Amino acid sequence: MTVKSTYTPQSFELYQQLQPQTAYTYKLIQLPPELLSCIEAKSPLNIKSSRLKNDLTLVSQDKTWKLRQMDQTDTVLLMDCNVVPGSLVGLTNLPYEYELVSTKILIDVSKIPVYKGESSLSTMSTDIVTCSLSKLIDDTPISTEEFYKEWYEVGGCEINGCCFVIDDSLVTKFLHTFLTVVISSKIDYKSGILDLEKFSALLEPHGFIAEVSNTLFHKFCRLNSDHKYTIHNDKIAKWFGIQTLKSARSFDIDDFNLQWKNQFPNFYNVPLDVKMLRGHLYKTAGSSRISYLSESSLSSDIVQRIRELFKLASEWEIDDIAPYVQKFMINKKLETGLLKYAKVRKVGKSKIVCPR
Amino acid sequence: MPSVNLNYSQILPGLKDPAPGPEVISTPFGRSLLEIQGVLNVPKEKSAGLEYITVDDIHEAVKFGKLRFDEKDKSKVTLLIGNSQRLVGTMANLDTPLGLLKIPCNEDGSQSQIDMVDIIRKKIIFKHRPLPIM
Repeated sequence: MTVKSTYTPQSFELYQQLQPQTAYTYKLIQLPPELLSCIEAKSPLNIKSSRLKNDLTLVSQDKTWKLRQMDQTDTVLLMDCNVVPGSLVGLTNLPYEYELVSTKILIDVSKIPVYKGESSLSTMSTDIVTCSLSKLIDDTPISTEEFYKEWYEVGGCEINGCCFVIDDSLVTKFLHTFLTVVISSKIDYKSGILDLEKFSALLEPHGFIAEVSNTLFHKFCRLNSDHKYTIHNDKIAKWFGIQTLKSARSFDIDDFNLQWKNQFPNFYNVPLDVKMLRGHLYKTAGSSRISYLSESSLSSDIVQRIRELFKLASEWEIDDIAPYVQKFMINKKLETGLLKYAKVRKVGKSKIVCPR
Repeated sequence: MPSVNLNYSQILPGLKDPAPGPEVISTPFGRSLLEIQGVLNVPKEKSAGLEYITVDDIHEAVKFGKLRFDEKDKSKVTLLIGNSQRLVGTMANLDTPLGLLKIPCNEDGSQSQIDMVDIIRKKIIFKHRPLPIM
């Protein structure tokens, strides 16, 4: 089609097509600045739909937007001024437009088998349906970059063309071995640069295949601005902290700190603080006891979730409750959003959230 | 999993064009949006007493009104529907531009590609109720 600008004559005759085109339909999609930047950069864009829900997402190389259908109460006509000179012809009515909402979509790992070591492969039940990584990427309505970030985060790896999630105890065993190998190689684990290929080869005789090492390096190592890997000690400390929390129903904080430290391999010392485990624990009001709490065990309904949280502890420090409720407070300050469901009072320097 | 490529190559040439002035009512591709309150009832088939044109040699289109632009202020528009209704509206810039998607309707519902065929930055909008023509 010729690209031309149309200047207004003083008036136009208006027509509306009796029947819309049957070969195709038109739809409107909002173009926020972030998406326009992707288009300007000629970044590939895809529309994906989730197999289970009827959700549509628009994905670029590194971003994911949910397409939210915004219905129009008015009549919006798509007009064409190229059909008859001096006329605008309504081609179709556009009853809604798609709004783009930035979203975080998690990979569904519920049906992915758990990898506990080489024996998992030989003893795997034939009933388990396996899928390849490329199929899983295809089935997940998320951008490729976000997919890999999330995939390593959940401990996912592809072995012999099948996806697995690495078992927690194997991750802990890996970290012990890995850190011991790093320390014995005389590399400063706090800031030393790691040659991942070399470490992958060093870990293989200990029973960790390259695929497992690769996933766990990505999970527990940090890529610096100069494209070199260093150990992410906070993440490792957090991992051991969560595993310690999971090991008992509740802990006295002092006992917990001691047990947490004891999880580390010899000669590995990093600073510990219970605050690192926010989003994985709750404190029992009026005592110094803490317990493990998984976000996935809570309701996906905010009202029900708040009720469940107050059932576990009658008072929460705002920073402790934040990880469990933050995702519901879209475009709102946490404290303002919480006021709809709870009371927030100031005690000294901290803010306490309690039921109404 | 259904995943389709969104092809936006058609809109790239005009992507960085500045927002057009009030004298331009359509995109460079000749499209514009017209928003009116309520529902526009047009006959489903050709009937006597109304004025028609043929689009693409196939589709019939019925005349439903006339759009007049204010000579002094090009952003002001009047829409006359039939002989009895008059609407006063404006040519408004959109806060967020809109992409126009052209989606092929395949019988099995599958698509290999969706085209973004235009980028719309303005809308002719009639927010108020119709006024009588004296």
